[in-house]
Amino acid sequence: MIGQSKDVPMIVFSVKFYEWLLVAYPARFRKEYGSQMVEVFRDCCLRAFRQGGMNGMTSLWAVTLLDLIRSLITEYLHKETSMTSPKFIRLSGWALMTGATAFLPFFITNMLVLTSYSPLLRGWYILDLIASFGVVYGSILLPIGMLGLRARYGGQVGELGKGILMAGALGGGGFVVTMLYGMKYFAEDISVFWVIFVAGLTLQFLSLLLFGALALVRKPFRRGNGLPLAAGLSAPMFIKLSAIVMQVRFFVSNPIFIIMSAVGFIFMTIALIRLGYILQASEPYEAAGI
Amino acid sequence: MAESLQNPEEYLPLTPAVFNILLALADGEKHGYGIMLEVEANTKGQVLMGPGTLYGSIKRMFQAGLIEESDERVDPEMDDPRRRSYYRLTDLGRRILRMEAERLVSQVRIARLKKILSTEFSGSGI
Repeated sequence: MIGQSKDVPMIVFSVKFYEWLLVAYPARFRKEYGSQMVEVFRDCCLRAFRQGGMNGMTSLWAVTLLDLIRSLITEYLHKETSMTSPKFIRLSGWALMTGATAFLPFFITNMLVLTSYSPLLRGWYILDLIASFGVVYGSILLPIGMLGLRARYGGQVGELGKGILMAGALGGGGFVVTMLYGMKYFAEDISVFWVIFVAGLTLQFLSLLLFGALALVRKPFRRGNGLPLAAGLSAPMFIKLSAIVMQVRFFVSNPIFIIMSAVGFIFMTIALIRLGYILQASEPYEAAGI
Repeated sequence: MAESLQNPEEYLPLTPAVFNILLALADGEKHGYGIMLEVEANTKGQVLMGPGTLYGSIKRMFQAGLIEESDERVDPEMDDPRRRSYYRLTDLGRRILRMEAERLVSQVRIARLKKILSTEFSGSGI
């Protein structure tokens, strides 16, 4: 009976056509499950034909085509994340850690400016140059870290959280481009450069701050849900203080501002390194999106 | 290969396809077509899965360590000599299935408290 049904031209043609349609799936998925899918579809054809003849086959094709479209979308979306997420999330965790560390020379030079020791130091300009590179390097890595946070924890913090992190990453990315452009063309106009610098970083850390507030409510991390807020809160404070100091030398000798700035920076660095560590050690969320 | 999450609760809630596939495998290993038939029967045709959804879900469940492939063999209940790949639940898969079922039971309990369910369901002892 099955042998006879199998040879019905309608079934033979349907199976062949379905096999041909499978070309649309990602190659890896097709290679792994294609033959099983064809076999299952053949079983469905046999049953549909036995139970409903031509009408049964028409209904089967309607259901199968819908299923094909839906699963194609899912597979391509999943392929995109599965190819990038686990590795990207791990790397973005490291980006967050090294990005936070890269700001250290900048912090040291700022402290030296604040304490007026900088002119006394031999090789000050080298340190200043390293600090500038550190800022560029860190500013490139932090948006990558934010994209990693978005990829890993986006599902838990919802569309709002994802939007916030994306805004921060885009702001950071835009800031880096502007800063690099500014280094070349606005070298003599430090105030423009500084405004762009502060605005860009503020946008990044404002996003981190908002994400931090959301993380307190939605608790995407198993531990350390206050980390993004700690990083987001302390950094703008530090930047603001640094901005004031750089532009208005009035506070240079004020020890309270120096201490606050140092504490803010240390909090930010620790929070970002810890956050990066959690991110790189985490398993990809996509596994939960089953 | 498996990319299991450390916290099983992060898997929940399951999609209807995943829940029903796990449920179909709860009483023993099955091949793809067998899973499809059981899901259709269990849901009275409400969850219709084509091969794309079935194997897409199987792939992700396999990656998540919820199911594993046992072996390839002929189904003695089918008048067909084709060898088929069989799938079975892992311990994690069984645990996730139980957690999801408990989650659904608690939802039903709330629905019952709010008198959403008809009397037919009220005495089900859930």
